[in-house]
This record gives sequence, C-alpha cells and structure tokens, in this order.
Amino acid sequence: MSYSAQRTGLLKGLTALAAVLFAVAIYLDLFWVGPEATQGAAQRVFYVHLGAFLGAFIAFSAVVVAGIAYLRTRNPKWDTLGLASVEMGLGFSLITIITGMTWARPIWNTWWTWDPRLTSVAIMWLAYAAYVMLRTGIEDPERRRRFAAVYGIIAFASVIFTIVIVRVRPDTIHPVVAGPTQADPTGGFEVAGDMKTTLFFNMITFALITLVLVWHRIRLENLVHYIERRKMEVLAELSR
Amino acid sequence: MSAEPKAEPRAVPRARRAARRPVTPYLRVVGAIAWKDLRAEIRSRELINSMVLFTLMTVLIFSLALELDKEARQTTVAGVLWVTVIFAGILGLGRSLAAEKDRGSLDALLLAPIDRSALFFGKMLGNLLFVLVVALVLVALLTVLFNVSLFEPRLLVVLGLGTLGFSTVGTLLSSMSVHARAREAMLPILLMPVVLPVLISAVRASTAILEQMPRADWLPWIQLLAVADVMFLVGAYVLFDYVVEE
Amino acid sequence: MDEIFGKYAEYMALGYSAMAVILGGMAAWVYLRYRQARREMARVEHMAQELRSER
Repeated sequence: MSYSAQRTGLLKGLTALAAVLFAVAIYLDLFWVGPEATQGAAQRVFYVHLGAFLGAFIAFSAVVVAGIAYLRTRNPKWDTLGLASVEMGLGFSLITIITGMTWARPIWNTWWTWDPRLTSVAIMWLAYAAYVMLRTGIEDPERRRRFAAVYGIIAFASVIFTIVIVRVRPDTIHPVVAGPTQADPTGGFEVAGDMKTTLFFNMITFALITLVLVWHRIRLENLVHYIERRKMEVLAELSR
Repeated sequence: MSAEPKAEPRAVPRARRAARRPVTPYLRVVGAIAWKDLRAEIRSRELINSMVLFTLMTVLIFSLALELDKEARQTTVAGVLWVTVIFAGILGLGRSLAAEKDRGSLDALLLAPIDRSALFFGKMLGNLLFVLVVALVLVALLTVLFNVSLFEPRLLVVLGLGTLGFSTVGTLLSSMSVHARAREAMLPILLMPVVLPVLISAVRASTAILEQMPRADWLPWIQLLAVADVMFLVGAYVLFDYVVEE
Repeated sequence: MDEIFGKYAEYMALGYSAMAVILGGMAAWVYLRYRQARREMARVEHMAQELRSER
C-alpha cells in the first residue's frame, strides 16, 4: 500500500491551494464585493450556494463517468471513484439546499416552498441517498459494484431534471442567473461587475475543493480495502 | 495505485455474446415473454387482484383523509390518480420479478438463447399492461367517486406516456432490488427519486388538462414526459444487460 | 453587523455558518476515518510482527 511520492505531493499541494483559495473566496464574498441593492447581505449567500451546486454537479457527473468506466473495464478503482463522488456530492448538495433556505427566508419570507426546482433538488438528494442504501443492501461485492454503477448512471436523470426544469416550464419562482430568465422570478438580481468576479472565483474554488475531497476519500477507501486484505493474510497465517 | 488487484475479469467477452445470437425474431421473443406473464396472470389473477384492491382502498383513504369539497376534488384528482398508480405499480413490480426469481425461472430465462434486451422489453411490456389496467380502473373509479370526468383523450395520452416511463424504470430497478436485502423496502427507495421527472410532468399535465387550461400549460409537460420516456427507454435498454449478466 | 455587510446580515451569517459546518463535517469525517484506519493498520501490522517473532 504505497502511493508515489509525486502524487502524494500533488495532493498535498492541491489541498493547501484549496484551503488558501477558500479563505480568499470567503473574504471576497463577505467583504470585498458590495451588498446587493435590494437584498443586502442575504444575497452574499448566493456565491457559495452556486459554488456548492457546481461541486455537487461535478461529483455527480463523475459518478456517471465512473459508472460507465466500471461497466466497461470492471476495474474496482472506478467503483471507488463513484462511491467517493456520491458521498461528497451529497454534502455539497446539502450545502446548496441549506444556504438556499437561509436566503429564501428573508427574500421569499419562507424557509422552504414546494417550487418545482426546490422539489427536484430535494429528490436529487434522495436519489443519491438511495445509492448509498443500495450499496449497503447488496452483499456480493462484484454485484454491488455493478448495480451501483447502473444506479449511479440512472440517478443522474434527477440532476438533469433539476437543471432543465426551470427552462422547460418557467413557472418556478427560483431565479435563473444563467440563460433566459422566466416570467416572474421572485428575488432575481443582475450579476455583473464585482459580483461576476466573485462568483467566478467561488466556482473555481468549489471545483477544486470537490476534487481534493473526492481524492482524499478515494485514498481512505483504498486504505480500508487494503486493511481488509491484510487482515485476511494475517488470519491465514495464524491458522496455518 | 489501486489497492485492489487490477486483473479483474473483463466485461462479457465477445465470443460469449456471439454465441448468444438470437435464433427467434426479436419481436416474437418480446411478445412471448409478455404473453407468458399475462397468461400466468389470467390463470391466477393474483397480481391484478391485489393491485386493484389496493387501488380501491387507497382511493377510499384519500377521500376520507382529505375530506374534499367539489372544488378541491377537481384540483387534487390528478395527484390522487398518479400517487395511487405509482404505489399500485410498485406493488406489482415487486411481485413480478421476485416471483420469477424465487421460482428460479429467471435463471432459465437468462440461459435461453435470446437477446437480453428482448427479455427486458417483454418484462416491461407485461408490467406496463398491469399498470395500465390499474390506471384505467382508477380513471373509472375516480370519475364515479370524485364526480370528475377523467375520460378525456389527452389525459389518456398522458396516462400512457406516464405509465410507460414508470414501468421502464421500474422493470430495470426491480431487477436490481430483487437481489438486495429487504427488497420490498429497497424498490420504492430506488424507484421514487428516479421516476420523479415522469411523475411531476404527468401530474402537472393532468392537472392542467383537467382544469381546462390553455395549451401552453400542458403541452410542455407532455413534451418533457415524452423526452423522459425516450431517455429512460434508451438507458434501460443499454443498462439491463449489465444488471442481469451473471 | 448590518453596516458592514448590508441588511439581513443575520441570515447571511446563518447561511455561511451552515456551510462551514457541513464542509468542515465532510473534511473531518474523511480525516477521522482515515486516522482510525491508520490505527487499525498499525494494529494489524503489530499482530503480524508478533506472529513472525513467535515462529
């Protein structure tokens, strides 16, 4: 169980870089960029809201890639990527949901509303929670990896649906920042100038954080597998 | 770098695929499998009886629990319709493949020299028929009990598309959940979030149609429903092979 | 607080602290499990060592 020193160095460097970028991003969000004219400080939540959603999107896309790659090559390392990405994606989408709620409370005057987009993002979260459940429910490791790959691909439908829903039928009150805006969003705002810079910086930061966290999670999983095998070896030696 | 050995068996070897070349025409196989399920069902009426009874009880519970007046009935009927179809459908799906596995006939089907996707479409068609029967019973039931006429050609289209999407995803996922521990609980957990695009579009389209809203209110949902159906059909066609491969 | 950040600063604070908790939780969860695995690894190796010295 040894990694090349070069890779470990790269991971360490990226981790440090992610931490620095995160600190800078928080500074930009909270102090550098001015408050939005009508929404004040509540709008500052939006930078991490979208950043975390990008993180979740990257993670869940990685699950699809890992699923296809596993079904083609049957190399268990792809399954590890899938599991690690799902877990991190669940965390990031939870951040998106909770930060969205704290924004909605002052702007929409409610923590939660059964708007199509809010509903679909909640369901997206449940779909990936179901992925974790499925893994624990199947004992045979080969079959578990195969089924997880299949379900990871199918579950991406809920991600697509979350993104597409406001464009297909724009009767949501959720503001759309990129692309055509709907008839009457509640609490929409223009993203320009400093806001755009801040948003862009947050997107990059969260993409990097996702990469780093998933990478660390993969290493953890590899270590756990290695320990399992090592235990077997020692036990075999004992009984000899 | 990986902790596990890399030399895992590769995907299904090409030679084995070639040996399983279908000997009977594709559509006839699909038909035969669907017909087999149907005939068994006509003989025992085990599945459809429980599904219809379940439907009846659900509608009764809904009308008791919601205590609807005439106006509220009009606006909730589409929701009641779809929720009941989905729950009754899950009941049917769970039984359809579990019975096959417990009898060991699934292995026999898998050994037969037929295309795996033909097996999928046959199974799916059987499930679709059951769900459609339940849906039609439900339409009649709600028309009488809720005093809202549901016999509307556009609604029947929505019903067809919605049940198609549902049984496509349902057949794929129930063939996975039969191998899981606590499979009765696993199927709805796996199925509900994935089938949601179908469910939301179907409910929205049905409500808009029943409330006589303009075309722009229901057409996009029907389109979305059709797109979701095609996506799931293609996805299930490709992925089913991997689910049943052993 | 409102003078620095703008109005509704309390909701902003709530949002950011929730984010910090979740993100920190994710990192801590991976880290703690990693440390636990490391400890277990040491135990297994220790056992293997003992086994070898007994022979």
